[in-house]
This record gives sequence, structure tokens and C-alpha cells, in this order.
Amino acid sequence: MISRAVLLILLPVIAGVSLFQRRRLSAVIGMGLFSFVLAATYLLHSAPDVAVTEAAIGAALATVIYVLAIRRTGRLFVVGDEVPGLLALEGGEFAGIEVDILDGFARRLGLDLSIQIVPHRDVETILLQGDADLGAGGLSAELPARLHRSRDHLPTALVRLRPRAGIGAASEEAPATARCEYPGYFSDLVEAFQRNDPVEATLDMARFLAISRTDISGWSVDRLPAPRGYAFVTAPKREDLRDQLSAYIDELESNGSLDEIIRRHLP
Amino acid sequence: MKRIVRTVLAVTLSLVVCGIVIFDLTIPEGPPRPDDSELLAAKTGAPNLVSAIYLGARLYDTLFEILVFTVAVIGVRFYLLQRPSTARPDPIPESHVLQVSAQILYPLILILGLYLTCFGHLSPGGGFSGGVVAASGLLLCVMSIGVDTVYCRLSGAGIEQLEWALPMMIVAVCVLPLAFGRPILSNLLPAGQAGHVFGSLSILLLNVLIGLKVLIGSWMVLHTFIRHRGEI
Repeated sequence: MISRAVLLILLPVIAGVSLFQRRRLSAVIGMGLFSFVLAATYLLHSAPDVAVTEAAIGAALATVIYVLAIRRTGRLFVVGDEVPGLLALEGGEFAGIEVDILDGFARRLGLDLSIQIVPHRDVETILLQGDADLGAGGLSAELPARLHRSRDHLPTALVRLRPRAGIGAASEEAPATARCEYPGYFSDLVEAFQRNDPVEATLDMARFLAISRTDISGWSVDRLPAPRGYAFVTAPKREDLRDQLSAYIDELESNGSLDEIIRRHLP
Repeated sequence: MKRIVRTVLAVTLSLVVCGIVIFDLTIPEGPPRPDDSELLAAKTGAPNLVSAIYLGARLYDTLFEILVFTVAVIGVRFYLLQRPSTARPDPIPESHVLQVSAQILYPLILILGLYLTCFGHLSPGGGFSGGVVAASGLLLCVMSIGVDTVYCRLSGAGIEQLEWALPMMIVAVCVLPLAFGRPILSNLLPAGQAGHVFGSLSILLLNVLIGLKVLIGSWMVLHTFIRHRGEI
């Protein structure tokens, strides 16, 4: 009798606790726990058939469907290519200035940060398709009008690298694209430079510094008129996210954490 | 630190609930049975009175429950198939521990689902709960060997056609007694020795059909969710 009373008291308590969870995942797990206790209650009230069904549906299947649903909405999905110092994979973990900023921002929103490395060229397409919330990875150029650019967090410049041997007349005349531009992933580009492949690339400062550690005597280096600094980009119709992120960067700057983050990753 | 405290709290709470259930699990007395319950159990050959009611005396209600489930599956597929598929080249890798434990657990859970379905007329269980338990086994299978592998194997077996054929088969089982000059929704097959697995063939047949229907329907809902809403 007492145990039934205990379970019955537990039910509203667990329901209340899961209702007031800030993280969606915690709330869903709370609901799963609620179903589990409810199944136990049914069992003690002589309804084993209902208990089995409640345990299977409520605690297992419904929880999984909720988790699948919030895997997209319960996290801040960021795409971008690697940039040494800003967004880099170090021993299986992401590290860098942008990672620190985004990590704090995701925590502020109660979301889980999820970063996926994609080729730099594809970031815009992925954002325009609405497959990600934020673009990162050393974005400095002007963007299509439908995407929204947050405030800058670090100044940068653009550098164009062209193989000396392969400079044709057309290439000489070609106007400098005022944006970071290279084929594929950044890690592939580094390998291409190490192999001395005649690739042409326009790089931002952080990427150029990383590339310049290899021998680039075979390339001509031009500094292009500097665009704006590094920023994040949000998907179409996500002005709210852009404004929140800009406000968050403002806040980091005013309390000095931004300087501290930059000094930690760019000594 | 906070995480450890939470984990300890959750585990303690689960243990307390399990403890209460084990401590108090002497009941199945419940409210007194109505007088004709023994009669019903004998008539259908199913000692589990719940099964005897929802697949015997109240089969008409159950038919509409199956209809509701079918409509839910159609609804999920109708709305989610309009969304673009979210198939990504490299989905988030699950942790190795999860993968290995899922590999060990899923055959056991599938068998448990089969047991619940086939013994639903003797003990707690039945087609609905057995089907859902088997579907969660299938989900573990997805976690261990990947959604595409499972999907290819299952659609190779023609389960989508089966999903739409099963409600028809269930209705056919309910209507078929008419052909033998008996009232609609009555037991198609004669009741045998009560308490035996094949003691109530009619309920066993319905349970198996419903179990399959629920398993395939839940799998299709899960698969559509995975493909068009999230990833696994």
C-alpha cells in the first residue's frame, strides 16, 4: 500500500521536474523516467498488460522518437571547414577561437553544439538549403543577401597564392576574387602545397599562416584589399540567431573574455 | 561533478522503483472478477482475461484501434515524405560501447517481443505490446548495424506491401466466420484446451497478425523519422 502511494507521489514530482528542465534532452529523459514509474504503478495496480505496453511505448519507443526529433532542433548545428587557431580538430576534439565562442553561445541557448567539417565552398549552399544553423570556419567575405552575418570577432586579410610557373595571361588579368576561395577541404589544400601541386587559392590570414609553414617559394603571393573580419553566418530567416550571437560576442568583448580566448589560441 | 550526481540520482531512483515493485509484487488479486469472466475464459480458451476480452468479446473495438494505428502510420509517412531526405554522407558515429551492447541485446529483445505476441493469451502481453517491444529490438539492431543495412534487408522481404496487407488480413479473419454460417467477429477456429499455447488458435492468430502489423508500422514510423527528421 505504501509503495503504491510512493509511486503515485513520484509521478507528479517527476512530471514537474521534467517540465522545468532547460535542456530538451533532459526533459525527454525525464518523460522516459515518468513512463517507467507509470509502468510500475500499473503493474502494482494489477494491470500487467497495460504496464508492458506502457514500458515498451513510453519508456522506449516514444523516448527514441523524441530524441530523434530533437537531434536536429535541440542542438546548434554548425558547418565550416578547418581553420588553424579558429576551428581545428586536435586529437578528435574541436578547438579554437570560434569553437570557444560557439560553445559558450550554445550553452547560453541551452543547446548542444554540433560541428561538422565541410568544404569551405559548400558552407553557403548548406546554409541556403537550411541544413545547418550556423556557418563558421573563417568566413570573411560578403555573402548572398538571404544569409545573415554576425558581427566580426577578429580582423583578417586576404592573400592570393598563384603558382609562378603556371601564370597565364588570362590568370594575370583575372580580377582578384575578394573572398577566400580554394577547392575541397583545407587539409587537402595543405597536402597539395606539400606535394607542390600547382594549385591556386585565395586564403584568409589564419589559413595563409598555416600554409606558409610549408615551402611556398613556387607561388606568387599578393595581398588583396582587406575585407571585413571573421564572422559567423546564420541560415536564411534566422535573424534572431544572428542578433543573439552578435550580442553574445559584444558581451564577450566588453568583459574581456574575447581577448582572453584570442590570446589562448593565437599566442 | 554535477553529471555524476545526476547519474547517481537517476540510478538510485530507478533502483528504488524496481525495489518497490519487487517488494510489492505479490498482488495480482485486483478487483473481484465479474461472474462471467470464467465463462469467457473457458469460451475463448485464453486464461489471460484481458486478451479474451479485447480479442474475443470486444474484437470490434480492437479493429478500430488497428485502424487508428494504420492511420497514424499513413499520416507520419504522408507528412514526412514531403520533407527532403536528411541522408548525410557520414552520420554521427555511435559510441563503441553502445554499438556492442546493442548487438548483444537486440536478438534477446526481438525474441521477447515474439514471446509476448505468441503467449499473449496465456500471460500479460499480446500483439500490441509484443509488436512494440520487437520494434524497439529492431531499433537497437539499427544502432548496431546501421539503418541502411536493416532497411535493405527488410524492404527486400517486401514488408511495405505486408504493412498494407495486414489490416486486410485482420479484417478477413474477423469476417470469415460468416462464410461458415456463424456470426461475424466470432472465433474462427475452435477453442482447445485452456492454458495451452494452441488452446486458443483464433486469439493466437489475431495476436500474431496484430504483432506483425505493429512491428512493421512502428519500424516504418521510425525509419521515416530517421530519414527525414534526424539521423542515427
